Amino acid sequence: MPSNKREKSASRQYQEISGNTNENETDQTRPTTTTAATDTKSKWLSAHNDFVAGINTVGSCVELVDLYAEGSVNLVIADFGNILLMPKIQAKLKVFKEFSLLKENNLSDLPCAVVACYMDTLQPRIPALAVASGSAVFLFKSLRPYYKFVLPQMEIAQVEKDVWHKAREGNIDMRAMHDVLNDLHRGGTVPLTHRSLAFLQMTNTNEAHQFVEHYKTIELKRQSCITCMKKLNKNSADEDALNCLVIGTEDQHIYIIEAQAFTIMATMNCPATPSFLDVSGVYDVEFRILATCRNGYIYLFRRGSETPRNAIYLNSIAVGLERFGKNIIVGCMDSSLHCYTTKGKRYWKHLLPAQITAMCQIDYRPKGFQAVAVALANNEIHLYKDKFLVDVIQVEENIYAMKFGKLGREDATLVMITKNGGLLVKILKRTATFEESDTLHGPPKEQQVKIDVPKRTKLYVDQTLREKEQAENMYRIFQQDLIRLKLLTGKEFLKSVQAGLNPIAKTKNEAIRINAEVHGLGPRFKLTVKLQNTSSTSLTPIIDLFISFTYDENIYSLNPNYIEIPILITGIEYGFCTFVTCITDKVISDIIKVYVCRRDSSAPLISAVINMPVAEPNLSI
Amino acid sequence: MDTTTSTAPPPSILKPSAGPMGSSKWPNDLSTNDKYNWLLHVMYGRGEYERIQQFIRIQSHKNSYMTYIQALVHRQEGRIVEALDLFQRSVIETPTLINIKQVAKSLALLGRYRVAIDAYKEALTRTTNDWEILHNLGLCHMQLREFTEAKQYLLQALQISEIQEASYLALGKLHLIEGERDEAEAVFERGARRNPESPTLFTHIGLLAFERAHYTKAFECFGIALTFSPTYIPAIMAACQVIQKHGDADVALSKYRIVYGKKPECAQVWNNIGMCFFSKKKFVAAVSCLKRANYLAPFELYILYNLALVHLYLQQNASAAIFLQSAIRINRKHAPSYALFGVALSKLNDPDNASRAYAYSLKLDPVDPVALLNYGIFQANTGVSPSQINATMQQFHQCYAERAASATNQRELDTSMLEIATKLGYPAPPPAPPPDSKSLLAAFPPPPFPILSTSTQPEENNVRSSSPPPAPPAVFSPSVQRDEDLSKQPSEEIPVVKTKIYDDARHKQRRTKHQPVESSDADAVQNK
Repeated sequence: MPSNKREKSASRQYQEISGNTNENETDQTRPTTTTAATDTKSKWLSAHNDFVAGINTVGSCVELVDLYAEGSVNLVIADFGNILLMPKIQAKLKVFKEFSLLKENNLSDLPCAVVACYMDTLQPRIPALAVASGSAVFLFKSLRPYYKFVLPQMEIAQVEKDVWHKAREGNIDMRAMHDVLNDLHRGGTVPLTHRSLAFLQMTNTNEAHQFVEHYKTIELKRQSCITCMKKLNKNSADEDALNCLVIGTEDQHIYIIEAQAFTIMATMNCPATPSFLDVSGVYDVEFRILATCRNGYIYLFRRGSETPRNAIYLNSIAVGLERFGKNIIVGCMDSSLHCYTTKGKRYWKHLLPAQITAMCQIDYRPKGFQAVAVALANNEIHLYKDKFLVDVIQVEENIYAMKFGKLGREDATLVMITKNGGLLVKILKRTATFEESDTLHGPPKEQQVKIDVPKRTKLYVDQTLREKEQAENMYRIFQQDLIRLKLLTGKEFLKSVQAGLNPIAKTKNEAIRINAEVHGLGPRFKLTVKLQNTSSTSLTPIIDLFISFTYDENIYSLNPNYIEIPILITGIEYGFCTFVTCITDKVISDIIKVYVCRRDSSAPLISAVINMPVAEPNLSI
Repeated sequence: MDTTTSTAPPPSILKPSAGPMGSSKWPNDLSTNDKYNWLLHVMYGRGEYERIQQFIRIQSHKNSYMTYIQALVHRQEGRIVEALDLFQRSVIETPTLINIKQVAKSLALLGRYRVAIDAYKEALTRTTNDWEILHNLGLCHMQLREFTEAKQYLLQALQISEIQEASYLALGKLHLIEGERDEAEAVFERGARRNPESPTLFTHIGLLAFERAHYTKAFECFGIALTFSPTYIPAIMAACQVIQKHGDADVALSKYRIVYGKKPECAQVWNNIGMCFFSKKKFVAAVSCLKRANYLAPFELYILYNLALVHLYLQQNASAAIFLQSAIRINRKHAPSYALFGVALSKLNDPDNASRAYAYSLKLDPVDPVALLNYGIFQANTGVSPSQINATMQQFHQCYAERAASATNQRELDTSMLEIATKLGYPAPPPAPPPDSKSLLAAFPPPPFPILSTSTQPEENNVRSSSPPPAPPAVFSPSVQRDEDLSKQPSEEIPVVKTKIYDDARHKQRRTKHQPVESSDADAVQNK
């Protein structure tokens, strides 16, 4: 069977690859055994699992490229290190051969994108690595630093320059400086420098003074930062042809930079800051740039125009952007996956079961298989071919970066970086075929859940038997008891209403809530009675009330023991205080009853019973 | 304002080297202050909120984008007041469109719709074609019950972007609130054309079709919704309702498993599961499920009604009566409960009250053939004068004929009712044999089929719309409401048929003792 043979060769290759990495074998044993059970069905072979690789990066910083033109593709990762150790930068450019680290270079700042590009016409075709970080692109040739390209400085308003010039000479005071800069910020056409903005944010004059002292001698600059970078072929569509770099910046520009002499060939104005780019075409002929922006739009740029041709509104922020021919596939933060045409028409939209954490394109030429892989926060990777879900890969951790392509000598590998820094590599089986109507379209797996029907006890069964025999009797007794219960409840309620015992008094047009607190250790306590007029129907305040107390006069004495209540306005809580002194020397406590009464009726409107604490003995020294 | 460096870095182990950093507390180059904004954006996009907070905390200098992201994180984690505070600060610093929109959105989330509308209007002065602003303005007006404005804004929003599912849903609900079903349906269908994969829109269309008794169309719509989202609960509930109507309890039960897995504490699901078991004749399981449903939602009328029904079937008449009492206490106008109460009371040897219950039930709903038939049986059992029985049975046959003429689906009416009537000695009106009665039917409402599809719909509609009247006010919590009125439907449909079957058995037992109970059960199966 030919398919079987191919299967074997794939697994042999897998053996070879894993054999190469002796130091990783210990790591490998654990996870592969867990996945082995599902492997028979899976279309992927697990080639490498290193959950403690300690790599922290994003999708744009992973690149698969044949760095030495030797026919074996290297994995290049720009690793952030631990970003929470910030100002200390641990960023490194790591190059892997097979699965072992070949070389690493320190980077001066966090990289935002790594692109392998051809910047000369020499043979053999050895690519350079362009690493974008901050406001510069660093170029590495043969892994040695080669060139640094810095974004052009931006225009600064003349007034602002003058202000800082004056500050250097010391003939402007803080307040005037603040006013001038503030006016400029509100009404100016040119944005202020970060220095001035930081100055405007200061509230403390002393600090502002120090700030100016510190910065006045340093040259005033306004420079943008790179947010994303991709490459574009310059004059030929060949894979190893000369490239230019396409750079998106924080100040809402997209630059196209020629990679030989580093000149800016084209500048485009994006209406918002771009976050992901997708570039296709050839610079000299025709090209398209898609930019997803922070304002939730995708803009389409074409050759020869500075402004976007088309704008597509997404309902959410884009998390990833891929393009297949004229189809744009974009994953959004609201866990939806959309497909648009470049004209801006939506083909389809899927709601995914969890948030998207990474996306990558899968383009497996030998089989003509094109799909988009979407890593989700529920540890699954979904593969969509057109609008159909064709495969689900289970992984052990959240995937934060993915890249599909050649690795080593293997044609179809999926490199994944996990949330906790693991590095996983899976190889697509050669026998794997992806069909649109897969098992995935059967009944959802939730349907396998068993309904947990509550069990009935034997007692219940016995009672049902009894009921069948004596239903009439039981019903009659139940009825009698129910009526008796209702009667009792009614009686008690009547009693409490008559005595004003319930905590919320409610008559036809007034409602009062009572609340009492006792403070102190004794023998002297402070008793606070809080009253609130809670009537919502009428806004008329309640008047003519008083508070009185009943208590055992042998135990307590109250001063005052009668409180006139002033007007009670709706909604406001009033507090009334009295002092309670425990006059007995026995260690006992009693209750005090509080009554709120109307002056014209003898029955209390509302009452409260307070359980007094046992008083501490009176210490006489 | 602590936006500058004055905040000390947190005393964390994360940052051992950060304290004595250089001689100055400010970096020399402020111009690249924005260099990590892209990273914050990426981290926000994939939901690493905790990490963003930590990252921002350790930055020595904070820029405006950090404030913005921090506010977004607050809002995502539900601290809207803090978010609003930070967004407002951003607006003061740089009054851009995006900041104003975020302030407005936070205000709307806090329920301060009036202020939110002002903020959105402010945002509208800066742009004219922003779908989000117009849509949210529509929603705010909807919350304030200013429906005309809301409609206007939503229509404007749809002019800008025709694919927005949310706007179609909101607009459709507005029409439903105002009782304009046709418009609502039109809006939903327009939305569904633009969003051919939207489970929500199709479920809504299906429900509207269901209300009009277009069961095939309704089922198709639910099917479409479920193909694109096989675990979408409202569609499952609705589809199962149709399945249960067809008596396919096993299929419905397997679908309810999905809902059960996701919402194990949903009383409506337990009710429907219970009724599935009931139609499968697993009575103990049915009682268990219904009791759990009752435990989860003690004030749900239909659960109580179903419980009573099952108990009656199990001959636990006292329990049945007690549950019916509760049901009646919840809704004093529920005619079927009174009718069933009549059955229960007559079993409990309380003919006076049973008679009163029947009478009251028929006063509330004089055209229910089941209640009439049961009343007739009751009268026959208690020895009332034949003329009265005759009057009741006449009425029964009349109502039955009307129902039979209007029923689009034969399952809706159980033909065995006629058999029982015949056994009782009161066959269909003048001459006894069934063919005659059929001919009379045909004569009564002249053309049986063509007209009934039009003439009977309004009536059907009324019957149904009376059962979920809370629909309009509950629009603001749509999903819950949907669940409820779905579950009501099946519970209403299945039990009614059963009541009769039960009575059938009782009648046979009393009058014609030779027939054992089991065989009548078998009858019931056949009827199903």
